[in-house]
Amino acid sequence: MIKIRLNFICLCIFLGQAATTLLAQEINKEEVLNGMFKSIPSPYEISSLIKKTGVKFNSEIINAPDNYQKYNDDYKKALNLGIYSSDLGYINIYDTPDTIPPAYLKTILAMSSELKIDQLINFTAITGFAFSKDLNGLLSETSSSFEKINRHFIENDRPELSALLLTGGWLETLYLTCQVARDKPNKLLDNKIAEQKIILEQLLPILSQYSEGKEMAKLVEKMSNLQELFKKIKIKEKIKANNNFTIEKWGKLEVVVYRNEASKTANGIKYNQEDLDQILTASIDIRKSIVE
Amino acid sequence: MIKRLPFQLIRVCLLISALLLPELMFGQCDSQVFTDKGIRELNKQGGYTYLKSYPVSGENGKKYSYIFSQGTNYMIALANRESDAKGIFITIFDSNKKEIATSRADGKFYPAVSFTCKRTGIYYLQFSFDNTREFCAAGVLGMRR
Repeated sequence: MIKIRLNFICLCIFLGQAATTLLAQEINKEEVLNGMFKSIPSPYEISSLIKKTGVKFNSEIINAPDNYQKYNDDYKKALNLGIYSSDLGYINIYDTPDTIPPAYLKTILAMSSELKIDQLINFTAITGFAFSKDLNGLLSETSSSFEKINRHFIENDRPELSALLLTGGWLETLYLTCQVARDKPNKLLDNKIAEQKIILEQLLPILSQYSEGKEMAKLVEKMSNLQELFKKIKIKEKIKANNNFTIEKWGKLEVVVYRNEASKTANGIKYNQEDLDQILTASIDIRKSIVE
Repeated sequence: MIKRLPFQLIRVCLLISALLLPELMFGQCDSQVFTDKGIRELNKQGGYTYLKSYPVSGENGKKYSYIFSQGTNYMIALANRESDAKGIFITIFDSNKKEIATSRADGKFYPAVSFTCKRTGIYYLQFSFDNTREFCAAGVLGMRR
């Protein structure tokens, strides 16, 4: 009897530990993907830089909204939803003709519906923010929608779709920056392209976790080749910390302000134009295989 | 032995539930209201554009990462039930885990921190609670060029 009880206690401990390990693994996977959503810079950061360079809006470089009808499987839909979302970010910072933003919103709505995630996007709120030109409201609402979509895919055992959504969004941001930099060379944009090395280093290990299946494996291979090109770029990460701060009152808000001005010249990034050209060519190639 | 089986199953279930309970408890904080409060602070500071929001729940706070960009000025607004975000603070570390900024200066809590990134890279945002029993808050990141 004592032996049976001991076995039973061992079984309980084992089951308990197995359950927590499984849960921890699931939570960890979710945490990694959620963490990546939080970690990747908002596409607005680059879009605003593109606009600052004085380059005019170019509808030729973004994915045509009608193309969505070509995307028949979830793999392509998730990747292109990421692409269209970055395109929408690019569109929103310009005063584009009134027909363009609704066309892209309509496409995103149609693709979301096909992926059964349209209930997670508050299109009424997004349209309201867009019309009232409330950029912070718009960015917050879209960001929140993407986090809900991410959780939905994970909870429904489709985490690979989250990884694809992230990859599509990042790839489009890289592609747009490369295209603009090619049309109007600019050191700030070149630096921004080189800095994408840091993001790819975070993104690729996540995407590689889901490399099962022919299409996914091929995409991971292409992204790995892109990473090889980025390896030629050298980024010095060490900086001299300056912990001097002041307390300032901004209206009613008390803010701790660190006045550590960044150097305008020394950015710790080393690359040559040939490296960037190769990255542009590779990003065009990968994007083409996704949008066509 | 067979009659005892349902009790054993109940005990297994109870044990597993006890192990899972701490994970379930974190779901009780709805930080969206504090995110909205943080966004309102960003809006009041002209020129800052929303980038990300960070819900924070649980006694141990929460750690996030973000890739900050050289030359960009960032602001992180903190919000909780208090009007001045007392009880929640943020510490920002670089990739070498070196502290570069904090909203808790000279032992006092401040509701916002602003800094200009000196080098593009991955940074860690550690949100922590202190001297509070309310473990629910949010941080909102904004930028301006």
